[in-house]
This record gives sequence, structure tokens and C-alpha cells, in this order.
Amino acid sequence: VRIRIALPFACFLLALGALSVGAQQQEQAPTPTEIATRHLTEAERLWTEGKYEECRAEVRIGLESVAPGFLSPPSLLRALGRLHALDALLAYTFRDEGYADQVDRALSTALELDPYMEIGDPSEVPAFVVTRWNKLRDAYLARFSRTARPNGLGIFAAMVLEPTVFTNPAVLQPGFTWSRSLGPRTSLEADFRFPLQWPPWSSIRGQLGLVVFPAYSVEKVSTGISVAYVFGLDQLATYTHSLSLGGRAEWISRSGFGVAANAELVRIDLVVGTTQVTEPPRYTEIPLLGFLNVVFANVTLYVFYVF
Amino acid sequence: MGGVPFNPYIVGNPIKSSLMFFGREDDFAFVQKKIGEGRANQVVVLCGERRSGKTSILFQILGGRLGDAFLPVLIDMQMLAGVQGDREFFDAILRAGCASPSLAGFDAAGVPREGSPADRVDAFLGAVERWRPGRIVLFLFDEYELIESKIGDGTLGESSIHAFSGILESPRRVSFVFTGSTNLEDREGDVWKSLLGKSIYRKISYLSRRDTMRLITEPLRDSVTWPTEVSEAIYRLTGGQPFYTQVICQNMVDLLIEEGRTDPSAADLEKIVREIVDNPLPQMIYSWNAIAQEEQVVLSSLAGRLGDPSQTASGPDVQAFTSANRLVLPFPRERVNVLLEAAYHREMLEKEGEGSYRFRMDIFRRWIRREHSIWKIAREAGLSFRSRRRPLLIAGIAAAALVVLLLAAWLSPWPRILADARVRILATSSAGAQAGEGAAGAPAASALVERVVFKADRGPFDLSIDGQQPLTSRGQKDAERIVVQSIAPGRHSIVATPVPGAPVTRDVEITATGQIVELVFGPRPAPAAAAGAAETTVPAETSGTAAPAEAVATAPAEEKPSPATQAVETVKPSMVVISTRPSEARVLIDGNDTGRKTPFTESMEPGTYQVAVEREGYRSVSTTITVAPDKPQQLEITLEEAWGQLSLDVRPTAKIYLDGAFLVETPYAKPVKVRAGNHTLRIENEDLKVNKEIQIQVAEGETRQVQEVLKEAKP
Repeated sequence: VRIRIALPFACFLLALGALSVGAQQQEQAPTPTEIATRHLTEAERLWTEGKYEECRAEVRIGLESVAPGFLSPPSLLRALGRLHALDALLAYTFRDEGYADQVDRALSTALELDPYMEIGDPSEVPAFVVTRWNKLRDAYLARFSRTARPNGLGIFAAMVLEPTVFTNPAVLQPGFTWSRSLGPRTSLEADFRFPLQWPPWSSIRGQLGLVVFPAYSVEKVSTGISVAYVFGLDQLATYTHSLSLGGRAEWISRSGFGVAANAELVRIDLVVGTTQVTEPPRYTEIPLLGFLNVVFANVTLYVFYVF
Repeated sequence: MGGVPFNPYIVGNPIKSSLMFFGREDDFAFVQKKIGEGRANQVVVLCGERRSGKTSILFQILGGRLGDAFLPVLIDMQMLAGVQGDREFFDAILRAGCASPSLAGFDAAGVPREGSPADRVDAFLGAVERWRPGRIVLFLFDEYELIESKIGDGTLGESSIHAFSGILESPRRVSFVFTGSTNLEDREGDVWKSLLGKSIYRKISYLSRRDTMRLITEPLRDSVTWPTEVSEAIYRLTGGQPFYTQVICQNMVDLLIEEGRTDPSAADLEKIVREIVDNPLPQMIYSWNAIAQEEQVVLSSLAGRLGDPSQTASGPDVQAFTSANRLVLPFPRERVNVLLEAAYHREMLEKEGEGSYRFRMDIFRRWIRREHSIWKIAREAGLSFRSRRRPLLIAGIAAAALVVLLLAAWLSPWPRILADARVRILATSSAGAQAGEGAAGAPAASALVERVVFKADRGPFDLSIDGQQPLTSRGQKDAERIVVQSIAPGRHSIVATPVPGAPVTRDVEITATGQIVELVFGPRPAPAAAAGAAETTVPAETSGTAAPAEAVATAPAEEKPSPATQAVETVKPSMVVISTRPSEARVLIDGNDTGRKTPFTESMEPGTYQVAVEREGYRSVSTTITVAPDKPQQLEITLEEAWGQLSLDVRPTAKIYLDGAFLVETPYAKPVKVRAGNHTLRIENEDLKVNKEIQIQVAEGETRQVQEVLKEAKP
């Protein structure tokens, strides 16, 4: 009986041990990022020492060893981008026939991988490559500018960040949004929203506004200021006209999908009609002169697509 | 001498004759300096506005203006019309090269008819190098943008530009001169990217004041006296723009010929300018139409604001002018300055001080004021006007005027007023009609005979009419013709001188436009007879592997001394002339340095001498000559270039200049071919503030290593 019990137990222990060894071996296998980084470090050393033939071999091995995937981490993409940039520098260094095209191809691939890579200044990198890089990068990033993709469609959830947000659906208003870029830094926005309660006309909201971003870069968080005229109709009886000033932060991917958050900072309300609004009292509003509220924690979260 | 014999000014066509070309010395010097001897192969882009004289510069280069070191080849871009593909394109370039006047006598038999364009051009350049060692083949392309448009429509491939790049990278001495509206960097797209690193550009601008004055006064300096006020006024009207200067001068000379005078006056000039303003040149209309409408609005306002040539106006002045005319600008007011600045950069305006502008060519100001007034532009551009602010006041004034008029009518008898008015109107219209008849009835340029062709049985030749400064067909495509654009009808005395040959003098009767005057010079004299020497070839001993051919010119047979005198004259020294190509080679006689350089002329005792010539960057040549008594001897030696290599390991990056000429940008993994000898290598990295020079010596066949790791220089 003991043997019968001991044998499976021993097998179980052996299996556990094998798994453990396998796990240890797996831990030791370098990740694609580590492989790429290793080749990059070696290639950069060879480049600095002026060993261009060896550097070219190292770059080629690095690029053949690892390929970027859909879900590759940014660190891997950055390392591969640097390897392609080195490839461009080497193409210029050897200046074989058609080298200008080789430089352009390598730099374009590096751009796809890491559009914000710093290739170096003209004190370290040949002016030819720096010029080509700047030109290609400007052209590439121009494809993702607000003016190149002026239209936006999305959904959003406007909410008051207060304790009742999880219990009272009336404080949560989903809606649709549309935007149109008026220039590289300015967007015209319109949205329309219903409350999560029945009947839907208990609280209808819409707004038209401008959002101004001092700067914009794709796949970077851009911050700006939003000014909007807000129209409200409650119980089909009470009209509210408001002027709202808020802060906006957004992030747009190269594929066109983006997310944004808008926080209302101050609002002037003009209420016409009955004042029996079904919305609960807002804890985040501080009435000042009867018509001016200082608002905080009124947040709208957007998911959108630009084209 | 009577009047002005003929009109030498050329309008519309590029100037091919060097006699009518003035100035641009600094432009020629720039090209010489950048691609001359000892410099790297490059593309020089001469860029400038239309009619700035770029093509004329090419023709001057073709005529040998840059000197013997260059073999210019003009590529006629009209050939592109029928070209289909890179192969035909380069075939046409090679054909143009073989037919170029600078390559007269070149045997193209060695150039293969098959192979890649780059290989064939390389073979061509190699054959030229063997034929004329050390010379630089210079391909001249007028309006290089045509190549780009051909690439755009698919007729040519971008590989043709890469082939240009490859040609420049070859060790052969070859360069390109392009003319066009912009430099390569400013072209849209990436067509020229492979040439960017090998190109430099130079803006072709207006002529200097001095050169403009020369252009005005020198062509007819023997027959026309130009008052300073007239030549200065022409300069202000054209700003030194060569085309418009020639237009005005041509009109002026036509007028002088027509009226049999030689004294241009300010009144004549005013008459000509009015004529041009009333009947603008197509080039003026083209220039205007090429301007964006916003800029037209601003230039028209500026012209309206500037009442005379001496005035200037700033951006606010222009805005004040538009405001005074109640014009609503179709752009922000701040943009006026931007548009003025743009016109300044396109050389339409010039600046005085910080922000005051005026038209560079005053003739444009006058023409715009007349033909493109702000009202006309406003209508064309659909601009709006501000409404009147005081309609009631104006209505009141109008009503008061009406009342006064009615009162006057009531007080005065109607028929007399009407009669007076009719008389006045008729008088005015009659005077106008008479003035119009006067203008129409004036003798026109038809009094002149135009386009008279002097056609010789052989060319080139020089032609002087009535003792004037001669015209020449040297360097022209058709060297057997000289076309005189306009000339007074009647009998003229001409002197035609063939090159080579004796002058021929005759009188010709010029009667009709397009007349052809035939000139007969007879057969060309034999070169040997003309030179008075016969050439023979003798072997030479060289220190290198290849022995270049050398030509020794001996004295003519009739100068040989007779046996009787020979005995006496054996002790008489003989003149020995040693010349090399290129020159400036040290001469050693019997191993002793003479301290002199070629061309070397020395009176030497009869005997046998060991002559050696040495020049840095070239293989030394040694040969033996025997000097006979009283028998001049000429030794002409062609030096072969000696090459070595430079391996440049200069990190992280630097621009390398060899003897002042840009060589390469590092990192560069390949050795660079350079002339053997001593060189100054300059290493420059502006961002690291490094600019150092090192002296290097490169032996023939040696690969010299240069290693530098640059660090930022401390201030």
C-alpha cells in the first residue's frame, strides 16, 4: 500500500520538479525586447568605434532575429526603430548605388516603429540623414494631423463624480458626439445626450462648443481648453442655457481611435421655465450669484474615431 | 559718320555673342571656383526668375568663357520632346557631346553603342579624357525642370537622376550646370534627392549698375552718345534686368535710326516707355499673371501709392492707401507685410531701410498703375468696398449742388449754355482725334530692315558693319551665319573676317527684311602652312607605367640651314620651347632644377639633353632632346594624372574639404580617389565648432589613412 501511495507521489514530485526546471529555463530565455536591445547595444558600440562592416552585420542579425508584432511592447518597437535608423546611417556610410533610396526605406521603417525617435543632431549624424529624417517624419506625421483627419465620431459618458454616480443612473448621461477640425489646433464639437432613466425626455442635453489645443501630437496626450454652449430641456418644460468652460485631455492613435476626458471648470446657467428639475442636487456645484455655478467633478469621457 | 548703322540689341533670344554680353564675371568665377581644376565633380544650379539671363550665361560658357580647362557641352532640352526612356535620353546627351564645338576633332569611335547609360557615358568621358587629359567635361542643361516633368509623365525614369549621380561619383572630371527657376532643394518631391548632396546653387540676379551701364553704352559707343540722365533713367526703369534693359535700348536705337539721330534724350525715353506701357510685352503680362491674386492686390496698391520712381512705401502705407480707397482687403491686414516681403524675395520689389519698398523695375510700377489699377484688380478679384459713412452729408451736398445748378439754369438763358457746351465738347474731341492721327501717322519701325542674314561659305567669322564693333559667329551653333536684328536700309560697308583667314571688304545694299547677304571666303587655309611648322611624334620616356604621346614641332623645311652655313652655325644656340599640359610643371635639365616652370623657353647650345618635367599630382616625364644648331625646337608634353586614395575615418561626422573644395561627408566607408601629392585637408563640424586643417601627402597608388574622433571644441 505504501509503495502504491509512494509511487504516484514520487511521480508527482518529479513532475513538479520538471515543471520547475522548465519554468526556470523559460525564464532564462531572452525576450524579443532583450534580443533586440542586445543587438542594438552592440551595433551602437561598433558604430561609435567606426567598425562599419561589423556594425552592418550586427544590425542585419538584429533585424532578422526579431520582428515586431501587433502587440509588441513599445520598448521592443523603440529598439527595432533604432536598429533601422542605424541601418539608414550605414546605407549612407557605404553609399552603394541607390543609397538614397536605401536610406529613405530604412528611415521610413524606423518611423513606423517609433515616430518620435530622436535620430541625433547634425553634430553626431550626417546632415544628409538628419535632413531626410526630418523631411520623412514631417510628411509622416502630417498624415495624422487634425487637418488631415478632420472628422470625428464617437460616444461618451457624461457623469458627475459623486457618490450617487453608481446608484443614481440619472447622473450618468451617455450620448453621441461629432467633431470637425477647424485648423491644426481647433475643433468644433457638438454632442447630444439622454439620461439613463425613463422617460428619456426627462433630461435632454446637447452642446456646441470649441476645443482649442495649444499643441497636438499623435499618440501623445494633448491638453486644451473647451468652451461650449449647453442646452438643456427637463421634463419638456424647463429650459437651461449654459456657457461652460472646461479642460480637455485627449489621446489619438495613428489608426484613428482616440480617448478623451473633459472636466467642466465653470459654468453660467440661465434657467427658463419651471425649476422642478428631476436631477438630484449636484454636490459638485457651488452657486454663486444665482446663475453662476463653479462646477467641479463633472466629467465626460469620450471614445471616438477620427478620419 | 552719319546715323546709327545697325541695332545690336537682342530681345527675346538668349545672347550668344560675347560682344553683347556684359557682366556676370562673379557668376563665371563662381562656376570656375566650384568645379575647376582640383575640385570635386558637382552640379551647379544657376537659378533665377524668367528672363534673368540664365540661358545667355550657358551660351557664354559654351563659347569658352570659362577657359581651356573646360569642355562645355550644351544639351538642347528641345530634344526631350521626342525622347522615350532613359536610353534615348542618354543617347541624345552623348550625341550632343560628340557634336559639341568644344569637342571638335574628337573621335567617338571608342564609345560603345550598347550597355547601360552610366557605362556608356563613362566610356565617353574616358575617351574624352584620353583625347584631352585633365579637361573637365561640363554638361549644360537649360531649364532642368523639364527633366523632372518628363519623369513625372513617365517618359523618363528616376534612374536617370541616379545615373547623373553615378556619373558625378566617377573618377572622371565631369560636372553639370543646370539652369532653372529654383534650386534642387526647393523642388517638390524627391526626384532630385540623389543629387542634393552634390549640388550647389547660385542665384542669377539682375545686372550690377556698372554692367547695366556697359550694356547700355558700349555696343554703340562709337556712334551713340548716351547722356548720363538717360542711362541712369534706363537703369531705374529696369533695375538692371538684362532683358528689359535690352528692350528699352533696342527701342531707343530703332528710334534713333528711324530719325537719323545719334543723341538719345529723356524725351525719347519717355516716348518709348509710354509705348511699352501702352503695349506691354508678353513677358510682362506673363509675370503679372504668375502672381497670386492676393499679391496682385498688394502690388497694385503699392503702385497706386507710389507716385514717382523715387518714392517708397511701407506696409502701413499700403494699408492706408487701400483704406483711403474704401477697399476691403480679402486677407488679414498683417498679411500685407508678408506679401510685400514675398515680392521682395522674388526680386519684384527692393527695400530701402527696414520696411520701405519700391518696385525694382520702375517700368512695372508705371505699367501696373496704368493697366492694373486697384479698381481693376478689385473688380477682377471680386473685392468689396466699405459703405460710405456719411451718406446724409453727401446727399445734402448733392442736393445743394442740384439747387445751385437749377438756379443757374433759371438765371441764364438755356440755349447759350448748351451751345457753349457743345462747342467745348467738339473742340476737345477734335484735338484728341488730331493727336491720335499724329501718333498713328508717325513713321513706325517699318523704316528699319529687320533680320538681315549674313551667310558665309564657311565659319566662324567676324563681321563689322560701317566700321562698328564687329559681330562674331564664333561659339555659335550655326557658325556660318550672323543675323542682324535690325539695320537701316541703304548701302553699308562691311568687313567680314573668316577664322582663320584674311578679311574681305565689300559694300552691300540692304533693302528688305529677311535679306540674305552671301559672303565667299574660299577654302580654309591648311593649318600646317598657317602655323609654319610640321608636327612629328617621337617616343618619350616616362617615370610611370604609361608613356604619353608627345608632339614635337620642328622648324619648317625652308628654314633648314644649308650645309655651307651649318658648319659655321653649329656653335649658335637654338631656341628650345618646352610646354606641358597642364602648364606650371618644374623643368629639370640633365637632372638640375632650372627653377622655372613651363612654358619654358631657353636658348640652348647644340647637344643632347635629358629633360624632365615634374608637377604635383602628375606623373613625372623624362625625355632626351637633341638640339641642333640654330634650329628652334618645341617640346610639348602631356602630363598624366597620378592618383592615390584617402581612407577617411572621421567620427562622428564631418564635412571634409580637400584643398578648399568639398570632398565628402563622413562617415564614408569607401576610400576616396585623390590626386597624388601634398594636400590640405579641412575637417569641419559646425555643431561641434570643429574646423581644423591637416597637411597630408598622398603617394601615387597609396591609400592614406586619416583618423580623427571629433569632440566639441572649447570656446
